[in-house]
Amino acid sequence: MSDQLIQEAPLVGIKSKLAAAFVKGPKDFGLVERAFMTHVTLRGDPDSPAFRGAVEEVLQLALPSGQTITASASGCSAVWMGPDEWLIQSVEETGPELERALRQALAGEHHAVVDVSSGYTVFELSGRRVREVLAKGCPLDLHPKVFPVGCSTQSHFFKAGITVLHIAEELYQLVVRRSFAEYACLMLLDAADEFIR
Amino acid sequence: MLQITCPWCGARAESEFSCGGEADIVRPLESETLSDEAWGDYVFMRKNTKGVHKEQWFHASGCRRWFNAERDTVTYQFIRTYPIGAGASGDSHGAD
Repeated sequence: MSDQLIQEAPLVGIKSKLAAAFVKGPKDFGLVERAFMTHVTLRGDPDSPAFRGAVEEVLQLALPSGQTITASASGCSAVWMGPDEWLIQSVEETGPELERALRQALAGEHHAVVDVSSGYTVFELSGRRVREVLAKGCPLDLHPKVFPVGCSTQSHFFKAGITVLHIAEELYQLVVRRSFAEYACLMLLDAADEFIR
Repeated sequence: MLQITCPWCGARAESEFSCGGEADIVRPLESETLSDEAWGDYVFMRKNTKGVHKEQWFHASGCRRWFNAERDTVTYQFIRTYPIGAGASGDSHGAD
């Protein structure tokens, strides 16, 4: 029966609520769920050239060493999560393949690679009010001078842990835990209420 | 809001952190020969410093790393934060 299972996006329970909130279209603030993206957690010694070399060979990108995002030509990106931890993100559903390829390349090196795609979902926030909405529940300084395009970091939006990715001028991505997705989305809608009415 | 300087992420809001109590408590070697009193000291007894206190802090909503901090318990001022093991001469980050 497993071939009949249908993947459900984490926000499926509040789909109608989300649609109703944006009946007038995303003018000053927009929220779209990008479900089923690939997320792989990678850990290892950032000072080991062998580790970095193997990862960069597989992903075709340089691992960031600060709170930034690096991307490859093939649509893969690496997000800094901590001094020895990265989140590898891809729009394609290639989690198991990516995990296998990294494990093979890193054999013998001290490392950890886990496909965590099913544990997370991504919200894409856009519009000229996006920073104001985020700032209602997130203590980060989101001013473009402090947190420019290409930056990423972890913080919280009210009670939900989030990874904030600054993709473009008025475009942010939030990587949210699946179990917190509904809560985070409802809090975002509540925070954005004055801008989407 | 009070800001705490994470050694890896820089100055962040207090709400991203949690405190892990007194720092630099060393687990006694050969605990099987320890007296009940000494074991109790290790497990339960903590300093209640008025003034500069060394504490463990956790950047729970950030990079999820533990670090040490010197904090004044009277003024709440963070004097410095540093990675665990960096000790007195390690990288220090000034408080705000």
